[in-house]
Amino acid sequence: MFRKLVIANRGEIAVRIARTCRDLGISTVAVYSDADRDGLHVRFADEARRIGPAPSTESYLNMNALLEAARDAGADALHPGYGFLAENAEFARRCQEQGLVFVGPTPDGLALMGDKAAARRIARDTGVPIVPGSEAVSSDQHAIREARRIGFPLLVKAVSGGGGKGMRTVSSPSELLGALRQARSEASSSFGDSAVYLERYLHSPRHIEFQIMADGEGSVIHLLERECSIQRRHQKLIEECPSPRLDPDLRYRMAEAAVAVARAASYRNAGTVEFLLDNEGNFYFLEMNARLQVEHPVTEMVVGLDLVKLQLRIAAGGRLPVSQEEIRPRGWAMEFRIAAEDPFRDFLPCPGRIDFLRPAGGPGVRDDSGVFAGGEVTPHYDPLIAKLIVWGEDRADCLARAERALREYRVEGISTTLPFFRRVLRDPQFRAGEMDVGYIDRNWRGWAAESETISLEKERDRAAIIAAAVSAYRAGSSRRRRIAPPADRSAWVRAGLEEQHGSRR
Amino acid sequence: MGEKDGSLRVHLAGEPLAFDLGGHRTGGVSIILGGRSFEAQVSLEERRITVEVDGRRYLFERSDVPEVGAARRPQGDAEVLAPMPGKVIKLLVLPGEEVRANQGVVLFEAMKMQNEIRSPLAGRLVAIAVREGQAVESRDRLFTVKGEPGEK
Repeated sequence: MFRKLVIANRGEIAVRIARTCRDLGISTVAVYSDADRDGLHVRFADEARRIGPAPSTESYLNMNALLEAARDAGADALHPGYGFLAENAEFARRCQEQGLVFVGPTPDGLALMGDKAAARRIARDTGVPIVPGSEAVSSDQHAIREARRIGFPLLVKAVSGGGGKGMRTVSSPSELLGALRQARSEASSSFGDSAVYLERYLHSPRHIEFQIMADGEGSVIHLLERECSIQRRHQKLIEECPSPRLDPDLRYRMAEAAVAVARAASYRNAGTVEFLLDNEGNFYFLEMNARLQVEHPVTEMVVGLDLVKLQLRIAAGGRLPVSQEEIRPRGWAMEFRIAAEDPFRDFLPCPGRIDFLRPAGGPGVRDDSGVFAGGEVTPHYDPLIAKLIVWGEDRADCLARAERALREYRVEGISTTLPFFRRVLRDPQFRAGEMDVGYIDRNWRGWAAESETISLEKERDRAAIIAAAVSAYRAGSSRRRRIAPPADRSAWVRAGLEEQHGSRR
Repeated sequence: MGEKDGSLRVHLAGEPLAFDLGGHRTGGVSIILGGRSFEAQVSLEERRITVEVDGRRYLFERSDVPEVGAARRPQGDAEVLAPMPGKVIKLLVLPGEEVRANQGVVLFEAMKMQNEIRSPLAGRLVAIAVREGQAVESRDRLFTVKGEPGEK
């Protein structure tokens, strides 16, 4: 096993990796930009090195700085986490050249899967269905030609993309050039590669992905699927394992396809094969993510394995310690991505200081967080601050625990996605496992505009009135505060909600 | 009386409410009311108060704060501010040009995501306060749109 490992990332995933390293007795080296000196990952590692100024192009994407930090620290391995350089073949190659083990696929494997068009070819040649689309488009003219062939609506996607960045939906020809421009610019700033391709847009499919583990010695196993249909602008917000949609037969066929793609690519280490599933049960290969996914903990909870540990074992040259038959799924898990975004302002990122933080706890609850009370969420990076993962014996049990945990979780100082999750948990469709990638677009606008109609008899409503009045009082200097619900301006309600205080003597 | 014993008096429809208030000022407001324990999350804006209790959302307006913003400006004009710290990637409309309601005016990048900042109304873009590539702070002025009478 490794002696000392560089974690070439930040935030919750750097913390996550550091934890497993401590479990295994591997010494860790955190890297940080100027914006992250106070990051939690710095404190959770054994060593820490500055790699540059705040912009990620000069720090977390700065290969020279990272490689130098590894050399200086005398590290023998590097874990890239997700995002940043996690799927960069050149970086993996340069690690290899300086004798640093890159915890992930081989450089060739990364190059292959990183080229989404090549990955599609592999799937097609393996007999796995793919969504109709183009190769990388070389010019606007080429894109227009391909778009005509594929038809609208379609998606513009970054060849080196992931996490929804550099992706745009185009519903008509007039939007194509604008979307190309935006996708290229976003792809270039996120991945350093502006190449994009086009793909047919399927109407309201589910997004279902399979976790793969391969040792590069011929052993390829899958660790079930994850249902990731609750997404907004291609960014996942809730994931669960298993998927409420798959029956054993469909699961078997999709898993076989996922394993076949990984095998055909001679894949090594952890990877995820993404599919779209239409409402008739047809599935299409979307892409293979050659990295540890943000949502890997739901898989860990259900299969009872530490995926980072498996990654490290494989990278250290070991064979897969488990066989497919030994994978015994148990129960149900969900993940809620707590991001510094305001769901009531179109999920606008809202960096700032976290004044108060009380994560959820108790049976079946896991908090993978990268922040702490008093810490600052910087505007420089991804707004994800924590992942709440909940496990239950079955989906109903998991839902109940999720509701309980979401009720407990408190973040103050910044807006987060927590109120969004609380609302989704009350939705009968979600509770019934009915969802597709259009779920948020269809529902959230209406839900975000909801507010309770106040009944003076209901205790919860009166508690809300008291809370509002007390907070307004505490925040202000004058003795009298009046509040009223904005919807109803009748004199009666205004008078009804008036509150008064005695003097502070 | 008052807050010295940790309690405030709130009158509802003229009647005082009997409740017990927790002393902590962070981590939500703890209220015991009729024996039931509530934890409310409150967010205060200038005029608006949002309260979440048991995952339900309540909106209130403060009527003791004079209305600012909209009333101060000539009718039909809109000053659009940066919603958060970020960078101006591209200006999509030139000063003096007409804009439709909801038309993107500034391409804005924050936390690695690009978003179009749109005009809230139809009219003419009378001023742009930022350059392409400029870093801006939250609530910095981005542009001003003068509403066109009779246009919608």
